[in-house]
Amino acid sequence: MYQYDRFDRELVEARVREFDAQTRRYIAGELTEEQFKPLRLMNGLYFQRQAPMLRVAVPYGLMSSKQVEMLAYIAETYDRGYGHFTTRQNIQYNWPKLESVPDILRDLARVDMHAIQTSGNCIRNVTSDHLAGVAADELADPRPYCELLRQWATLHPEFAYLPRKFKIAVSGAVRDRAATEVHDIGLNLTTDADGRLGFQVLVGGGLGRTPMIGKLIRSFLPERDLLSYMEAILRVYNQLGRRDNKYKARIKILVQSLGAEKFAELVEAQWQALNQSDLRLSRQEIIAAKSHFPAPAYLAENEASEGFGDWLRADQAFARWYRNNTRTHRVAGYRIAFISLKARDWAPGDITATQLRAVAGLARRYSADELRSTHGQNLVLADVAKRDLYAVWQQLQQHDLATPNINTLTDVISCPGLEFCSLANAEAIPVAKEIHGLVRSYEELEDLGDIRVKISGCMNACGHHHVGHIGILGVDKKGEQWYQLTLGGTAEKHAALGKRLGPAVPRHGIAAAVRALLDVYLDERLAEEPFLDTVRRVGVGPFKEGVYGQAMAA
Amino acid sequence: MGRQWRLDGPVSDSWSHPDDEEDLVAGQSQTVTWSRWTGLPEDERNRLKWQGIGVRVPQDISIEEFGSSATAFEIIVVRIEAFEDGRHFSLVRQLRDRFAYQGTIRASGSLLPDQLEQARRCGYDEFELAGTHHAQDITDALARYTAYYQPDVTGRSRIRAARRGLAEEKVARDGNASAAG
Repeated sequence: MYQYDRFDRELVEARVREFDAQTRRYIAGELTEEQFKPLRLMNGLYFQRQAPMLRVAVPYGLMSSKQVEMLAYIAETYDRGYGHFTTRQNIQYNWPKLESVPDILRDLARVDMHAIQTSGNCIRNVTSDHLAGVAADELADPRPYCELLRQWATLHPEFAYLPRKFKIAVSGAVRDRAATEVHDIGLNLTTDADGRLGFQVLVGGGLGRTPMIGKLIRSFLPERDLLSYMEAILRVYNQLGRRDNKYKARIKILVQSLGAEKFAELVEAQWQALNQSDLRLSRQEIIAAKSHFPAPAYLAENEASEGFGDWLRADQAFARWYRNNTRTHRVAGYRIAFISLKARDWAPGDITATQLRAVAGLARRYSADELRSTHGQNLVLADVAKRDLYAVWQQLQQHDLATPNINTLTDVISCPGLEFCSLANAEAIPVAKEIHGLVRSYEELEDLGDIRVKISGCMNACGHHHVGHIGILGVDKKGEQWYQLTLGGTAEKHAALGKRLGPAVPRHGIAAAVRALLDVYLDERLAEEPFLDTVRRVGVGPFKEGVYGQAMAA
Repeated sequence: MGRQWRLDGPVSDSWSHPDDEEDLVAGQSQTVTWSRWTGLPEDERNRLKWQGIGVRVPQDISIEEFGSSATAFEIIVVRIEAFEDGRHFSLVRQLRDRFAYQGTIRASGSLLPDQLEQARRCGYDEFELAGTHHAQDITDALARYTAYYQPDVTGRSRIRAARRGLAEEKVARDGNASAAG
């Protein structure tokens, strides 16, 4: 993974001192709440319903074991012994004290971590494919470009006070695991006719109150021009994005109002006008960035898989975990192992200090000393030899991290909801727990197969409900919690927004409504047909009927 | 209005800023609002240009509207009403980079000490901050960082350039070492 040099380190340390001074000025009354707000937000600090919340950056989801151990230490020392992985690959702490935040930042800096630009109206942490470098369907590793973007975006002098937050995602694979179509900028690695590497550039995707799929504004951007083109897009947005209404301030609204073609013209004009040579990436810079992401030394297949087949035959529970929670690695003899943070009775994405230490240990021993966080609020050990899978599984089990449910019904994505967030209308985590209760066995869960349930406690859509196969949105009706259901959304290639099923259902009826959707699927599906395909084939009609009864289905 | 700051410390304002209704006096180092300027007859503008004049622009002025006129002015005072509104950073950056404006650019109004460094990097060289601020906060803000990832108008130590330099040194060193061996 990327190794800091003294320049990276000095910058992060200076940022810690800066935030320390800002916090002291705020506490001393020298900065008003209104003035402190953007300053603390661009360093990841929210003032929430119950306590401040600090979001720590995990650039494109990559962490070393040592960093994960520091995250555990912070959870224990400054919080209530746990942290929460977000849908943008970051980790947040829900209970730090304001006065201790500078200390947390100092501790993070010791392992080359920070909270820079994890919130606020600036360029946020760049996200990517959690299977980067190990996926079999990859054209090129997106991580070197993510790192170059991270550096370009960090303390950018011009773009710290944008109209609204700005999120960039990069993917280098055939399957889009980075949700590039629903980001402010989505970059997909591609090649031109001569085989040169570059990017397809999508702009103006996003969820929130006005969900939209990103528009293609450039089908090929040479890799050397990555930073200058980003600068051009951001400059257009910074000048023309709406600032009169925060709900209309994202770049998607600008792209929509101008039209993608006109927007692309403005970007091209700005790009021609700016000094491209200053930002152009040299061959050496790209090579240097790539050199930070070497593949580990892999064993030969027979050695890497030694004894694996025996375990698979001998232990059914292990075999189930293997089927559900591991994926094909591009190197024979290796698997990508998911660590499920979706155990029953546990908030999606939450992880204790003890669990963090355990997974850090597993990564150190079995997976090249690295861990990844996913958009699905799980973790990944990306380089596990098959011969080690059984030991990994056993240890994960001991820590309740081996629920065999990756990409199944109970692998729910959820925002923190009413209990933690001052924006939420309704609970999210308790609904996730009820969904766990809908299936009685792992056989049943496996039989239901690939179903992505996403829950947002309000229309700001932090739980990405628009792109859930089943989307659940909390709404407030006269002080009561109700839920709006959507069906058929996906953030993968050819992203689609879910269709509204019908009227909202009350809090006590949400679990039964989801059960009804599952029953319709089981009735309607063809052999081996996944949930999303059935929804696409039969439409929402039968599901509507299942949830609301015949009368509503017309 | 608050105190004036140049990058090297507090200064007093050598410009006066008459309202649109007041007469302009020749040779007095005055600024006019952009809206007044655009309403003046051309010969009047030429006369003022010859004598030396500054302009006051709002933070949301369009660079396409204003950029090509910028060279007429010795000083451009950007009036900042809301510190969270970052449009002027792009404005000033383009005045320097795209329109090669060489005169003085001053930020005036609701800017925080915490924003001065990025303001400087975008092309400002003077600040007039509303409200009271500790001189130390301002000095600290301008001295906190030694290097950045991005190119900026200050041309100060840039991390990418420094790394390139280190890489070249290494190549040279390795080359010498192998020549010596």
